[in-house]
Amino acid sequence: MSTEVIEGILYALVPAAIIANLLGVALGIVFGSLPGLTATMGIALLIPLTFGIDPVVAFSALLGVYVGAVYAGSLTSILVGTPGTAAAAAALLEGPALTKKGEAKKALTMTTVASAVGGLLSCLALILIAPQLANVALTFGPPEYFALGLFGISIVAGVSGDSLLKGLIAGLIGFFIALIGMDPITGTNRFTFENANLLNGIDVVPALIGLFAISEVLTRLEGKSEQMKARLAETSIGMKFTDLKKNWFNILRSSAIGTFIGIIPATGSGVASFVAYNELKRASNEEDKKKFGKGNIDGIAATESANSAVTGGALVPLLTLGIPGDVITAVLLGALMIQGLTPGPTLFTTNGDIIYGIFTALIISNIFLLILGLGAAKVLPKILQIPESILMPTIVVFCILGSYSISNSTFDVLIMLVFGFLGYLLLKFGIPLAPLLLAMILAPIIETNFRRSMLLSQNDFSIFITRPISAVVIIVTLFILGRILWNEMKKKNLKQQSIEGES
Amino acid sequence: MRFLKLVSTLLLIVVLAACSTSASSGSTTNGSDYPSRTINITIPYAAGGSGDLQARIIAEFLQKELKQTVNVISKPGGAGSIGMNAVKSSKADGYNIILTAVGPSTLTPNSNDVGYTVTEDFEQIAQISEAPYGIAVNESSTVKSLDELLDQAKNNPKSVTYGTTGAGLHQHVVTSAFLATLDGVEMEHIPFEGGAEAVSALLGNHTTASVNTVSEIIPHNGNGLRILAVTSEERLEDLPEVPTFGELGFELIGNGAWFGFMAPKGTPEEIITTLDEAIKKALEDEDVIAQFKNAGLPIRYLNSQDFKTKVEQENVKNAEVIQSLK
Amino acid sequence: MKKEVIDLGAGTLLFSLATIGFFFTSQIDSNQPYGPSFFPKLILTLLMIASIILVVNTIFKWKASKDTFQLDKNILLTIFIFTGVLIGYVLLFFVTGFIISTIVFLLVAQFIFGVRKPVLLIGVSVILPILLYLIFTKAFNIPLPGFFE
Repeated sequence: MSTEVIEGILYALVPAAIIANLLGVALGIVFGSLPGLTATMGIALLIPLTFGIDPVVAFSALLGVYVGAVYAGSLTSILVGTPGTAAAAAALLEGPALTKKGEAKKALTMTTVASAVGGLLSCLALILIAPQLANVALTFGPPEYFALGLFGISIVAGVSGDSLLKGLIAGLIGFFIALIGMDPITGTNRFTFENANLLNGIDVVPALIGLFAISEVLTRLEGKSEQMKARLAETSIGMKFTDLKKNWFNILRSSAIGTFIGIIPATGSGVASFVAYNELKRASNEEDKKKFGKGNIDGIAATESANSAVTGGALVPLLTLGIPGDVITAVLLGALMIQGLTPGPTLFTTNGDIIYGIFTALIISNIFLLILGLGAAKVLPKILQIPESILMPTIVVFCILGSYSISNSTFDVLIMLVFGFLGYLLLKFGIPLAPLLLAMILAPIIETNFRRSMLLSQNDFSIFITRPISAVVIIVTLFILGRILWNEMKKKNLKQQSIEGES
Repeated sequence: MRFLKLVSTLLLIVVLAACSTSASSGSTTNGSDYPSRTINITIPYAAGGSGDLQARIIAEFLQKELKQTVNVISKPGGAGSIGMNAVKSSKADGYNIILTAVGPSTLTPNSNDVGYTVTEDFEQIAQISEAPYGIAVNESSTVKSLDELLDQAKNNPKSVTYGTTGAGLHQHVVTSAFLATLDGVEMEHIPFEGGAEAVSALLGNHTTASVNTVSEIIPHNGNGLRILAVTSEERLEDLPEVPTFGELGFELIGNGAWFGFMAPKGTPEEIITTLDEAIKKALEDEDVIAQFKNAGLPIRYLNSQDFKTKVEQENVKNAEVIQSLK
Repeated sequence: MKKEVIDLGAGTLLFSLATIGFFFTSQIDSNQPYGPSFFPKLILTLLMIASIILVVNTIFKWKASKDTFQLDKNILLTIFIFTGVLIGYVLLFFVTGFIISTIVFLLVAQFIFGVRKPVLLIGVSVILPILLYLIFTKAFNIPLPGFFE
């Protein structure tokens, strides 16, 4: 056993593997930071090149792309408000506000450090307790997923901003949008209006590119370059060690959340980021809660460590059970099989050396991420020196390019544009966009698993409370929802009193 | 005013440029010099899936064989109909072909009005692979054979469930057609999003049985799952002890998830033949064989004519089942 | 105008849209108790309730409210023009492919955003699309509908 470990580690340390890893991370950062180019596309592009290459070298490159792309999605979110993935959209909660304050460099440095730490911690979980964790994934059946989805919905309150009611409305709109397309249980068409493009529903990526980036460009057009001038002078504020020190527990908690959500197949890094953000907010005292949404570096630490921690978590069911939890890991599964490695219970015993090689490669990827990312944090804020009058039209070009290339679809470009106008309109109405996106991600989890549960139990609701995990999660969710409502009532009463006092 | 002038001048330039490019293009389509430029293989699936992988492996070989660049373009969405329509409406000159599968060609057009019929709008070039399905139960289950599973379903109607890759997909269509032929056997279908989800639900004992592509369940056979039967015509090399549905006396309307190349209707026959022969050669190449084997994709070549017959037959049968599912 | 007009408008609009949507759910056939139309009906009902609450809340606040907002006609016109430009860009993209549509768009959009130096305007508008086209198609192997087909 121990010789296998050492052999594996050595596989990942040969020069070819190190170089492949470095190039992979660099390519991943490029793909991740351009909206519309995804980790999946980067990996799919590399797979044909890995035919006939030593498995650990191949995986050094592929995991490098994975780690780099997941990390880099947030960079463009923070700098120019253009997310390319749902996880990157979580970085919008605090990122752009930090950039406006002139703290872009600080935000990017925190993103890098939090991502690397999150990635490494999840790696540790993967190496030490993968088989035990994998069994956790299996205990999740439809009722448990449904409960988890409901719990996710409770986050809507945390990302709603001033008005809970408007956040709720945003969430309902998002939920409804996710229902468009073929029904996942019976295949019945819903709101497709005989348009084949709508059969598979509205793709989240073009929708979110439009929602956030196009609406931002339109908003900037209103106040042409006022904020920009103020910002240019002071993009050089960096991160201080105290910022990191006060966030150690936050990063640890967020990494744990990310790892856990990564292990549960079919949930995804978007959910992880939002949950981590919400938990941070819930754990804060009343005074600190007011800082959120206005450029709080702690929020970045939470979302970024969580979304990078998903990487290690998602490899747990992949390597131990051969079950990919999302599209990226499904592509990685294909790559493993091309190498003649069948992931699953037997992989650890038959190919222990390669497994440890892959673990080591993952650690190295995170180290390269830290190095390259810290460099990027210094260089990238210079993008902001490009005048807004050039930068904004360029962002639109990237939106078109990104929404098209995600599935080579002109229809997606239209979707992107429609959601751009929708996003702008909603902002004008004071309706927040984050809950809309969150509900759009969670809706399929909630709906399909509710209905699967009903099929399994022959329409008996007790299935949700007779199973321990789902019962606990549902009770906790109800408790949280109760508290949110209670607080809202209290706030309203206070307001009422103050208004009455005035008059 | 100046602004308007600028815009209108630019528009004029654009229109002129567009006209000049379309006028200069034009090529011979009789097939004698085929291929003389880049060939595009469309796949009706997202990049990175098994369709993409097969297309890329074959594309690599064709590139060497035909001495032309071969691109793989992924056009997912619309339950496969987006990619199919894109190829249907492109020029029938052999430079636009599609690597499609059972779903986009014989299921989607029968359940939705998507604007094409596989037999009327496409020429079949060659089938390249067919991955059989297997029906499995959790290893802790008392069910040891397919007959026992069916008996259990007979005695406890509706409480026996089976998972598949998704509603209306081939696994579902084949299984429900099979169950419909049996008297008094009712099993509740639980659709999942993809095979992996269905397998993990079975591993976690949330469903009674699951119908999956065998490559998804083979790694778990005897290690969490028990495979009861496979849909292939003959027993599989990897599962010599597992009987086929045919052996057990059941007839199925499909033997597995096949992939094959098609071209838009009207593509010259010489070009179809050239492609068919090149693809056949690819499937006999050692590297290609090894890559397919590793990826768990059983090669099953059918030439243009046989493939055409098969598509015609399955299209009719699948249409019937889909109507009955509605 | 009072600021509450916005909320009132939003509430009414949402309520109408949700009602129209609800009408369409009746077309979804379903014979299961929790079938394909269950969630659409549930969500749209909740949306109707939420928009009614929004409207009612706003009416209660109406008297006490002192906040007002004003529509800036210039801003409105700029947004309107830019919206048109975006639609034009997408349509042109479908017809002429990436490069030409992007050159035209960048010229117009930068002008609207206030770039007036001809060299900068034309330089960025021509170089950026060509560069992006080459990177995407050649380096990343992602086909774009383009000029050089």
